[in-house]
Amino acid sequence: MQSLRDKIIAVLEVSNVELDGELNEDTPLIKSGKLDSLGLFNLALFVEREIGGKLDVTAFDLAKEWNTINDIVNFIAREQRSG
Amino acid sequence: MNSTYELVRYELGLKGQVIDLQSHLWSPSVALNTAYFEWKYERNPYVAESLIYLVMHDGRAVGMRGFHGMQWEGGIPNQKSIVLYADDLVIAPEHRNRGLIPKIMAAAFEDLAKRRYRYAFNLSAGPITLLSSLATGWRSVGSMQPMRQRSWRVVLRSGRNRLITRLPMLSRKNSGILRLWPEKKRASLADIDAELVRHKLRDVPSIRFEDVPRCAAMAELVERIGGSRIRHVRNAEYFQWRFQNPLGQYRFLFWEKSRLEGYLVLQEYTSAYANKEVVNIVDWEATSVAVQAELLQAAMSLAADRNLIIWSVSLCQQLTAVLDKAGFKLEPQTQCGTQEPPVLLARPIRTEELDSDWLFAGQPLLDMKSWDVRMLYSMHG
Repeated sequence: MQSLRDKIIAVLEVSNVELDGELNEDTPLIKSGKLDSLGLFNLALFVEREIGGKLDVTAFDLAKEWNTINDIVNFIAREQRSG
Repeated sequence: MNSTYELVRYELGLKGQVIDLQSHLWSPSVALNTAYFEWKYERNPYVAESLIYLVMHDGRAVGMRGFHGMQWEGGIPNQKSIVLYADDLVIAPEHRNRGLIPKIMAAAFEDLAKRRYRYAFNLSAGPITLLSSLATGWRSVGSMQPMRQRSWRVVLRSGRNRLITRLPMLSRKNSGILRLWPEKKRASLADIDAELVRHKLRDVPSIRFEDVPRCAAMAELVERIGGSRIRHVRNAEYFQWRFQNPLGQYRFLFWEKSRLEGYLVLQEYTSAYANKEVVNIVDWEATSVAVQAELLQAAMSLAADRNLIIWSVSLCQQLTAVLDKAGFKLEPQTQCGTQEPPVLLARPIRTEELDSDWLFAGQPLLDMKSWDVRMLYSMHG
């Protein structure tokens, strides 16, 4: 079964995120400007699917909470727990 | 970013390219886009220079972010300040998804930090701009809470059109539906004639329907009503400029006795890209709720075959009750990525201020209670 990390990488790949070096859990995606609008859009839809409900992107600090793959994994886990 | 892209500030020689590029966003018409550009950037009463940032590729403009000036006020005593309105974010389709938006935003704020402006606001971000903005230091103050009054005539028109598109092509031409149910031309605000106005407003002699704003009287009324929340400085100069927006067509309802006691501004879009079923109530002021209620009833009777939309977030409870009674319903919240309702975004110009308290005239910017927002303050209106 595909891990959450692998699913996120798949979303980034589909979104053609240009990553100069190797992508790891702590690669900055947002603060580096690598995650463009389509990537963010796809990621938002993916997170919404994972948490199984509507996501209000204005209710949290997106630049901090989705900056790395680890951050996104933690965000989803937190939302799933609270949902 | 690919090295073949270059970030530059707008200069006059690039005007034609900017107007071409905006055919992806504003309208397909070069003439309309030119008029809009000149109104918004060249005749802006608050910021003389065109603060536009472009991505160039092979000598062509392929991306843009623009900032125009607006004067805002708030607080006691009243304080006024020019704030930049971030808008017109567009990337040519063949250059999208290449990391250009974060770069253009970063370059813009780096350049703007050298100027005297403290904040940028945005009241008309679409879903993509919203996400890109939140990733680059912007914060959402909240939703504008649009309310809509659905016209049964729009529902009928939509039903007819849905039915016709389901018919096989050949039978469409011969279909009895088209003969029995011919398409009635949707009335534009420009089609509202004096006879219709006289008929519809015969019971409310205090209300006048006019094609042009009464800028001085409207400004005097706004001044008389007062307020301390964060809002546009709606003086005569502002109204004079604001209603020249060529992407909107405006009509005015005035309630007066010995002097002006209230007004309501209706607006429809002129761009071929826009939803023509919609008429917006972009500003609605009066000295009493009763006057506002009469103005609303008049607006509903004159735009009966269109959907009316108003932003309700800053309205008092009595006015939302008036809207509710008139059949206006809050637009439902939708999925994050697909159709976020209009939100109010703010950001300090200087990156080093991102972690400080965001205040305007001593009031917290991120608290919606600090704001008195109308659609007129946005490029939706």
